[in-house]
Amino acid sequence: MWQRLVKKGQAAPFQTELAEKYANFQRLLAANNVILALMTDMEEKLSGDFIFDLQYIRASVSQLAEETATLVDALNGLGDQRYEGLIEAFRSIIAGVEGVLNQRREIQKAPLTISFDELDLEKAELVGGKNANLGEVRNRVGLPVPPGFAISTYAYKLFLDYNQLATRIPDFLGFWRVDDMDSLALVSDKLKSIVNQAQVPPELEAAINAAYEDLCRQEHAHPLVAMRSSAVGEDLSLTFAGQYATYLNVAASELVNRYKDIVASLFTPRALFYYKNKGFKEEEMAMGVVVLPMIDAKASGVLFTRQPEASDQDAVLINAVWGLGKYAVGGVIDPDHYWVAYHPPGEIIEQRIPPKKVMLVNVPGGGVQEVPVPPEQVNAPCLGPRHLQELVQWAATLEAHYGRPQDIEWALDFEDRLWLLQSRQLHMLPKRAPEAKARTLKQYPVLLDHGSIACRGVGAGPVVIVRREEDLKNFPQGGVLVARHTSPKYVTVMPQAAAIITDAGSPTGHMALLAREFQVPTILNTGNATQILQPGQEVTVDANFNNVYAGIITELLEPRQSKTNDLADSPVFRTLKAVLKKVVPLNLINPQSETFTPAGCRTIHDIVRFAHEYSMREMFRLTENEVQGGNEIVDLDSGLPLKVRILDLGGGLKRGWKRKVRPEQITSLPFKAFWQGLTAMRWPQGKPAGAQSLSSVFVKSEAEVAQGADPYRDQSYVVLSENYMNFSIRLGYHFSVVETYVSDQINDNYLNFTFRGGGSTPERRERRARLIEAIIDRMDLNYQRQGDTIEAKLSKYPAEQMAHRLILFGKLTLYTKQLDMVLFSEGIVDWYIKDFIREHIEVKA
Amino acid sequence: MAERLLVIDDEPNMLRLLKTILMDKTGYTVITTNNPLEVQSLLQQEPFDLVITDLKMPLVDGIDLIDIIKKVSFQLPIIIITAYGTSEIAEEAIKKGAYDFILKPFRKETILIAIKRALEWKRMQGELEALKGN
Repeated sequence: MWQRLVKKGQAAPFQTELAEKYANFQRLLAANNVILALMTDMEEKLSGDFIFDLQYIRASVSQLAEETATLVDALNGLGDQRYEGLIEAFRSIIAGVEGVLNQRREIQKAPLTISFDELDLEKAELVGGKNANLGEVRNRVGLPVPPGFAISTYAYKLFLDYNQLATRIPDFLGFWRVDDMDSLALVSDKLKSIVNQAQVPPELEAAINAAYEDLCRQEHAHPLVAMRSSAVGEDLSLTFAGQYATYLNVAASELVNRYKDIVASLFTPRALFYYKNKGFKEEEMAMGVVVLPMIDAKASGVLFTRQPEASDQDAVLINAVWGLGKYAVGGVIDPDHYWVAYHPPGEIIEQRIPPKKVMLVNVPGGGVQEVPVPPEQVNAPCLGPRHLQELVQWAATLEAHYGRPQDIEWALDFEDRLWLLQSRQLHMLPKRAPEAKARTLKQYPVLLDHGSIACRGVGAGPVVIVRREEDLKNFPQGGVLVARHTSPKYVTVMPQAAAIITDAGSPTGHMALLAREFQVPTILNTGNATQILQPGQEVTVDANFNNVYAGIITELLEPRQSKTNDLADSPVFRTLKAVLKKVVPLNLINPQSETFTPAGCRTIHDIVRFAHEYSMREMFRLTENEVQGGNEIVDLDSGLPLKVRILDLGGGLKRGWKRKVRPEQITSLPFKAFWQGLTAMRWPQGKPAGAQSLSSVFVKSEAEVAQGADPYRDQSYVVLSENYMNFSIRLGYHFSVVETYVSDQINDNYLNFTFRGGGSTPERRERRARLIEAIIDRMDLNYQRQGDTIEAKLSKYPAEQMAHRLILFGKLTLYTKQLDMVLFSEGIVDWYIKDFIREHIEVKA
Repeated sequence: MAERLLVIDDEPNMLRLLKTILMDKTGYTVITTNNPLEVQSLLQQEPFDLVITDLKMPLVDGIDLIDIIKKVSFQLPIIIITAYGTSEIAEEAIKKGAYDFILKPFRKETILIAIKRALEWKRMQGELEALKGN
């Protein structure tokens, strides 16, 4: 392709070099766009609205790495390998990301046993969820939990290590074919027996016995104990559905054997299936064990602090059986059923006392057995009013502490004391959420109702118009940032900003990514926010439904605070979050800063920002001084207020010694066609468009430049060869790109036209987009419109057809700019569409 | 009575996510397994209203699973979940009798809507059967 652009033979070596540079420039821009889109896509997945797996993260990261490598390579190609530091930065960032992806959750070193006195929720990783919750309830909530101790997950690791189980188990699994349930069950049994035959390390045995002795001293007795599994993350890992082992009424001499039984319970057929395919990792299901004195229970049961089906009912549900609690949940007998009010506490709303004929009791010396319930108790309720009252108070205390409904196991001893044996989160069936509908609150004045949402949410506060960097310095807490364009520099005030609104900008841009990172509700591309909103005016920005209201509307603000992400705790979520931390944050904000260097790049976003900035400099500034001859870049001296900088790849222009060329000196066929259209344009009323009327078109933009807008904003660039043109045209807020190749080789010919943006109100932008769409529709091109962006494509047409359309695009480009201020109604649009078609398209027929 | 859903995926993390969402957003009873080998026995033990399964799993893939499920209960709707870029196989799954497929990653609403539609379909099939029976 690039040979083609300079193929006429007159290309000097430096022109080939320029062609290469341009190829790199395009490669860089393409990669830049893909990376920004990927980042947007990944960030969106964190919103809580999506379900994704690790595979998604890996695939995205690998694409991100590939594109970033291309980007870095392209910048080095463009800048004669001046940016090798960027390669280093890229490698180290990607290594960091890979590190996150391959991170294994190590089992932390900890004492082998830990007394309940020292446990709370924060130690869940060390002892498993059940232990940590018991510690939390005992020490932080202050409800009666029997004294006891945890055998830690580190003890489990020690046990596996001591017997080399972490390597023996995978070997063993590899040896067996496990392709049906029967063989899985067989292997499961074999593995369990391997675990049972394994040796508990002497130090662990000593630690368990010492912890038991401590318990005896505390209790002034030698109690039998209950032992239960307490896996890390057990609440969620329903997938293994291990009915992990629980052993009741265990004698001291059996502690170590029962410990092995509990570890062996990890190797259910279901779990094996997983290990077989994914490999056995000891940290995947780190196991702690609860050890607590066996309560000689007169009655036991469970309590739900809410009815699972009716979270708004202010009542607790209690089930109770005689004897040990296993029968309350096991379905062996029909338990007592009490529905008890919080207010007044303990008032029975409803109760059902079925006959309970059998019960499970402790056997002195160890074990449990089923016995008949004494006849006088069969039909009697297990709990009296005092018990119900106390249990309801527990329920209220626990809900207040955890902030969520709980599922509790309790026991009543023969001294009439109630004990709490387990508390865990209760899964509620949700109230149906109302359907999200487009929302406009009619009772409040709507100031803006258009734009592109970059970060959802609602924010309110006084308007702060930001026109230049200094305006950011005194940005108030809770201000609504309103600006013409997006800028990554706004990141400095994002922690304070209640919302961001801009006239122009894209939701996939740098700043949009940052807004999502900081969770600042943001609406871009409103067209005229800076004109409509007044400094200091209080507004409410509803970036869920694209409305800006006058005043502070509290009813909109409340839902945002209650928004929770129920997936945020899941492992894939945490992984994506950790990955994005190394991808999205932008540290290189100001190109003038000393840290705006390859070494300053700490994230992929930094690299992209750096590469983008320096690619522009390489392309249009540095090259000027470096290429032999020093003046391959020239300015177009058209006499029109249009700043065009030209890079000639060869054969695009005939030039003299001056730094400027006149339009007549340009020999590039596509440019000549396009320029002809641009300059031939007349007003629809028939008034010729000379320099004067063109000036009037640009007055506004010049004024903006004077007000401190980016002086390069109105700079247009064109890259030319005899048959090729890539023209990036900026006319005020209008931005269009025409890339085309026109030759006698019909198969090589193509034309891509992109139009984007434009100032004025959303209605007018909509009208303008409709106008362009309607006109392009008559030009026999493939096109698509998305918002106010229109892309049109044409290929493999003969040269005269290509040239004709380029003339039309030249005309259309100026026509739309001229119409900026006049598209005040739909009828007018139709008139201008017809006018253009009549004047410029139908004449060809 | 709450509809019973069986969710099959070899990846426990995915199962956790799906279970969390379905429990939080709906009133369905959700049974999960990461072992496609036990699907048949699960289906035989208790009736289900809908099966959601991953397409790519070791030992038994989702396509083969469709046959297994259809053998136990011909009218049980099956929703296939599959990674982006494997839609041809997903279409094959539809030909084999799956009710719908969803490409990963997907929005929560996507699966909730797909489930609703599939259950509605099953309900109407039931009505039709009843009419034919009369």
